[in-house]
Parts: sequence; structure tokens; C-alpha cells
Amino acid sequence: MPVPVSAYLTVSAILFTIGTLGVIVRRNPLVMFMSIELMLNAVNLSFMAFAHFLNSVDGWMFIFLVLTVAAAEVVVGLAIIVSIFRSRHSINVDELNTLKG
Amino acid sequence: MIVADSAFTYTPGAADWVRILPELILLGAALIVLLADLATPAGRKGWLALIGLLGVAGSAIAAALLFANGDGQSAFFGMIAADKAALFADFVILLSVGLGLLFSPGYVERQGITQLGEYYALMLLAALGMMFMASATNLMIIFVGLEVLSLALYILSAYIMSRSRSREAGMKYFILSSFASGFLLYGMALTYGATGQTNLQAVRVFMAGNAFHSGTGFGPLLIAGLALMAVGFCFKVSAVPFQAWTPDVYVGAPTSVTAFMSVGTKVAAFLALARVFDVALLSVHATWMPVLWAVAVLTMIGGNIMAVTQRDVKRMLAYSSIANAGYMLIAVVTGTQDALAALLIYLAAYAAMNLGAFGVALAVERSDGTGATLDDFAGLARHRPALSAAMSIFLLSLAGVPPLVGFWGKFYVFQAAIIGGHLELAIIGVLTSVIGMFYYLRVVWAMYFQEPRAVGIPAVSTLSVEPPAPAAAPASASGGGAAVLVAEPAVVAAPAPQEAYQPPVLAPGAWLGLAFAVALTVVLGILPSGFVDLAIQAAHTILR
Repeated sequence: MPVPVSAYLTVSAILFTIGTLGVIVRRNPLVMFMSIELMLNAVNLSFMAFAHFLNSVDGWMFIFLVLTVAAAEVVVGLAIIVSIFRSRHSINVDELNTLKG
Repeated sequence: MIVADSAFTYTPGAADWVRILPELILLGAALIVLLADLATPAGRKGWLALIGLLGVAGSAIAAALLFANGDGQSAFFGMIAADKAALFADFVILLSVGLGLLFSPGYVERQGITQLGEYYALMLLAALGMMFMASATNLMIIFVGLEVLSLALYILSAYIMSRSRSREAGMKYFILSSFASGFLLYGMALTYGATGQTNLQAVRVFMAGNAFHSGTGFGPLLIAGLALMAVGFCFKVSAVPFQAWTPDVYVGAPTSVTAFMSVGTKVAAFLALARVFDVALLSVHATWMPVLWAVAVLTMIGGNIMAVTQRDVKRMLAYSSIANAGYMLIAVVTGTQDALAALLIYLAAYAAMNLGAFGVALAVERSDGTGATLDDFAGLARHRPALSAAMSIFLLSLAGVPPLVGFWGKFYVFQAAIIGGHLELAIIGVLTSVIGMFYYLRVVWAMYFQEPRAVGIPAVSTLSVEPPAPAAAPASASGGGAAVLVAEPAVVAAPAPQEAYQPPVLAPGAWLGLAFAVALTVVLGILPSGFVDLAIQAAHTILR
């Protein structure tokens, strides 16, 4: 039995929601960052499903770009997180309150 | 849409490469800066800024030639447009990165930034991303441009590694901006799913062809896609209620970076927003209009009211940039060609005056990054008359006082809104501008009519080294700039550390930048017709 496109989209939406909740609820930047990656990969799943069912390669191309960007984000993000951890020995975002905002 | 199982070939020709020549030149300059950094001894890094400026100038010349002679078609199979709107935006972005580079030598050394090669290269790469995003006619290139500029700006925000405020700014910007990218991307995915296209032109054709007159609407996929894209873009242009990151990042980042990013990201994001919503999705204007309408109103009111309570001038300028995003959103909501022209006019005006205002804030800032509060500005006119006069011009322009360029930005946006049937937005815009008048003029009042405070502000005796007035700055950017930029680190290293407080000696490059910003603010304000014509021309040839 072929899996309908709605199934992929539902899984993708659930993953995206989990990622969003993770960013909002968790206080550890590393975990928040992993949640963002989850969101990006949920989107990739959507692209994949659409590309397959629309028989179009645009979605596949988009996935490659998203993967590349996500890898670059890891590099920059981890560098910033590590530099903060080095100076404070804590990366809880609630303690990042030098700026009052 | 490229069908998966058909044999598809597309060979880019020379014409394609010519159409992205401004971007290519900027990329080349960034790479040369990185290489030249290896060969440049410490203390002579001012040369790198000069290389960057030459790249910016070359890119601007290429954009000008394309604006005058180009065919305005898109390149690389409809990925990137070299239409006049994109080239106009390129100018504004190049202006902002150029001024950002001019402000940097001297300031960055004072703030204890050491890796200057990467700093200048990242400024240029961020500008490159902005130019790609502003010229993108495909959702993919919008995303890639956005990420190129964001990644460079995350690093630049956190660049003063020894200062916790800067690291924190980088972290906040990184988390919140990638979060927003996720939303934008999901919106793009759903739009792609609903239309089968990522090319904006093809989306437009699809939307027009599938006129959703059935009365049942056009599917939850597209609605969700539109909503998510709107959220993502609103984050990026720092519209209320997604503005929380803006003040923190603007205050924590090095001021030269703030000056550049406050303008450049807005240009890029608003061009992409206009291309997606006002060009590709114009036929469903009635669907997305109420949402952006509400965001525009909230942004104008919220940004202006929150700015009133700020005592730190950099923070005030951050909220002012939120308020200005609200005025620009009016143009996007209106969505007519006049409104697009008004958006371009507003962006150009905003670039000149906002970069200038941040440039002055950078000039009074101390080496620990503090010292730009209202108290520090009190009585500034007494010992730094030229700086105070420049700041007054920028702030009056931001407030929208008639002979200056900011007035024309507001004038054309409100005019387009009234003609386009959004009288209420124009009225709210005018009323909130009055609030804006208060907090801008408060700084002018502090500079001219308040006594200097004992804290932080230097005694008059230490001020024998008042730099030359802007008018005396060398007129030719590249010719005279070479000497001043390179000579500058020696000036900064000048002694007298034992004084109670030594006012930062402003590098000649920064004076040049401020003089340029003042000249633009005043001249374009008095003679607006030339650049207004260019903007109208640009808006009318935006690829549809």
C-alpha cells in the first residue's frame, strides 16, 4: 500500500512542532540548537515528500541547500556556545542577562 | 518547475555571469582581503579596509553600469534578477557596507578586536549575502542569501570575544535568527507544496492561472505557508511582536557592525518580502494583507513607544529601527508600484541617516563599549561641535523634518499608502512619527542645552585634539582614503593613558564616513528628484 503524501506531511509537522517546543521550553543552548536542527530536518522531510509527489527536482535541490546551511550553522553556533562556556562555565540562557532584553 | 525524469540541460552563458557582476566583485574583494591579511603586518591592517572599500566601489560601479545598460533580465534559469530594483538595493547595501568599513579602522582597534582580516572579510561577505537576497527571484536563493548574511553577522555580533555583552549578542542573534529561519523555510516548503514552484515568477503565474474564485479558498497548505513565511520575514525585519532580539543584539554587537547590519539586513529582507508578497503573491493580496497590516500597526506603535523610555542612545536607535521597519511595512502592505518605489526611497534615506547616527554613537563610545547614554551626550556640543551638528542632522532626518532626506522617505510612503487606499496606516504613521520626534529631539536637546555630566564626559582641557570638521575631510574617497586609513592605527595608539578620560580620537576614515552621510542626508533632502526618479524607475521594472 503506497504511503499518502499527507502521512509524510503529518510526520513533518509533528517533528517541526517538537523542535519549536524544544527551542521555547529548553534552557540549554545546545539543546535549543539541536531543536532548531530538528525543525530544519522536519522541513527537509516536507520538501522530500513534495518533490516526490509533484515529480519535481526543486525540492531535492532545496534539501541540499538546507543541509549545507545547517552544517555551516553548526560550525558558527558551536563556536559561539563554546566561547561562552569557556568564560562562564555555564551556558544556561537564563544566566545570559547582561543585556536586559 | 523542473520535472524529475525529463532530460534537462541549462548551460549558463556569459550574460548570466555579467548580471551578477556586482556580487562577484564583492566576493573577489572579500577573498583578497582574507589573503592580504596574511601578508599584512599587525598595525597596518588599515590597508585591508581600503581593499574592502575598493571592492565596494568596484561593485557599485558594476551595479551602476548594469542599472544604466543592463537588460534587467534574470540570470541562471530565473534564480537571480538583475532588474533595477535589485541594483538599487545593491547600491543601498554597498553604501551601508562602505560606511561600515569607513567607521571600522580605529574603532575596532579601540574595542580590542585583533583578527581584523576576518572582520573585514566577513563584513563584505555579509553584504554579499544581502545583495543575493535582495536580487533573488527564487525561494532557494532568498534562503541561501539570508543564511550567508546571517552566518556572517552571527560571527560579527560576537566579535569582541573578551566582552560578555558581545558574546551574548552573538548567541541571542544566532538562536533567535536560526529559529526564525526554520519558520521561513517551513513556509517556503508549504508554498512549494501548494504551487509546485520555487521560482517566484512561476508562483505568480500559477497563482494568477488558478484564480481561486471557487469561494472555497485555496487550500490550507498555501495559507499555512503564507503565515509561516510572514512570521519568518517579520523576525528578520524585527517587526513587533518578533522584535525582542533587536535591541540586545544592536547594543551588544560592535557599533560599526550594528550600523551596517541595521540597514543592510533591512534592505535585503524588505526586498525579499516585497518580491514574495507584492510580486509573486499579489493575486492573493486580500489574504495576507490583514496580517501584515496588523504587524505594521503594532510595529509602528510598539517601536516608537518603547524607544521613548530608553536612556542608552544605541538602544534608542535600535527601537527606532523597529519603528522604521513599521513605516516600511506600510509600503509592503499597500503593495502598489508606487508603494514599492516608496519602499526603495525609504530604504535609501534610512541608510544615510541611520548609519550616520550610529557613526556618531560609535564616535562617543568608550573603549569598553559603554558611554553612549543620554548623560554622555549631555553638553556634547560644547567640546565636539562638528560631531553634535552631524548627530542633529541625522536625528532630525530620522524624525522626518522637511529639508532632510528622512522627510521624503516618510512622505512617499504615506502618499503611496493614501493613494493605495490605506489612509488609516498613513494616519497612524504620522501620529507615531510625532512620538518619534520626542525621543530624537531629546538627544539634540541633551547635546545643546544640557550641562555636561561629570561622569564619563571629558573636561574641556583634554580636548585640544578636536579632529577636523567634516568639511575638511578629503573629498576623494579612494585617493585620499589610502593615506588616512593606513596612517590611522598610529593615531589610535597615541599615548596619554593616564588622563582621567581621553575622548576617543576619531580616525580620519570615520570623519570621511560621517561627512559622506551628512552630505547624502542633506543633499538628497534638498534635491530629492534625482534619486526618487531612479527609485520609481526601479520599482516599475521589478521582475513580474
